[in-house]
Amino acid sequence: MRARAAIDLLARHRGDAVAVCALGMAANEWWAATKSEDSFYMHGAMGFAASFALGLALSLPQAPIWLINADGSLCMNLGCLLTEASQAARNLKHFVLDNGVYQSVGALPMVNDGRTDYAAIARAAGFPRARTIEALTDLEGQLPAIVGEDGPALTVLRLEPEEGFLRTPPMTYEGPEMKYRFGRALERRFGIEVFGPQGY
Amino acid sequence: MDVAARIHEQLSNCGIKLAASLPDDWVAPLIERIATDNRIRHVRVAREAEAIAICSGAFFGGVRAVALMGATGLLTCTGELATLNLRHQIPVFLIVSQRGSIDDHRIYQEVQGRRTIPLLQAYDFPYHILDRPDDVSSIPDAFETCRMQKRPFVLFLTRRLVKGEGTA
Repeated sequence: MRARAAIDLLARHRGDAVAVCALGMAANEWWAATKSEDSFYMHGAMGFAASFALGLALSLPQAPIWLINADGSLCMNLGCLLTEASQAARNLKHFVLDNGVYQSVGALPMVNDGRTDYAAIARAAGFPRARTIEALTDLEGQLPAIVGEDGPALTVLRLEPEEGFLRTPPMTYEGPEMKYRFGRALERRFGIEVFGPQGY
Repeated sequence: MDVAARIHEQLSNCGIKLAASLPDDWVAPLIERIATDNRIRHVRVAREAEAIAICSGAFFGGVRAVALMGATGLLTCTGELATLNLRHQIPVFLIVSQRGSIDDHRIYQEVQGRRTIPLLQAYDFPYHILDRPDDVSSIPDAFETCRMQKRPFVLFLTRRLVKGEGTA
């Protein structure tokens, strides 16, 4: 399936989930689809959107947290699956955009392209639920159940490598502004205090 | 009260509700003490940078967090500290063993002893060293400084603090 179509479908089923996006295609496409400030778009720390999302999920158990990860990022920190499985956050759902390439640097092939079953790795790491979805129609059919199930759950979306992708981050803000927009959005939605009375 | 208990007490005074850890032998007693505290969510990680990102995510959930690790682990997460925490000005509070000191006679720690603090200075990451039991009472000030400076803050534990006088 095509990345944009898969992301658009995820966005339509998002409901009130807070999203954490791995850098590159995941962040860029999620922004393009949602323009949402209650999403955190990684610009660095490749591989660690998963850990960031876990920390957020454990700290906000009342909030559904969606991790929009990518295969390149997952491979940079496969150990995150062990930690995620052991913490068993019921409110955390882990999606992996799997196109087999480092798309945002020119679609160069990833190590072991096409021979790795990430859902099997997740199950072996202790995930009770993990699956791979190849076709958009299957994703559309399965998403309501995926949205409704408890985490930890991992869903791998097999995507086609593409031309014409978003190479430059399209978000209109970055760095500290992303921190404050995301933190203030969560403060408003959940009545929590991210920043203290003096703003830090 | 032993040192681990005193540090634990001060972390509680800071309002710490989440700890993410990967042990070395100097911080292990503190980690195991925290692990028994059901007021603190303890997350054991497979790589130290996970602890950095978990604490960063917890920050946005309004939860005060600490990352615990050895000095070698700190060296492994400098890229994530720079591109996540420095880039977005996200505070993260670390407790780290100050390995490679003159009383730490482990050959595999000597580079950490020589280069860790210069590395933190190059990144402009603040740090504070706890060397004596009385120093432990400074933890709430260190935590507040971390929040105010909006960046990684490293609280070092010396060998003398965690192991007592003498060398090994």
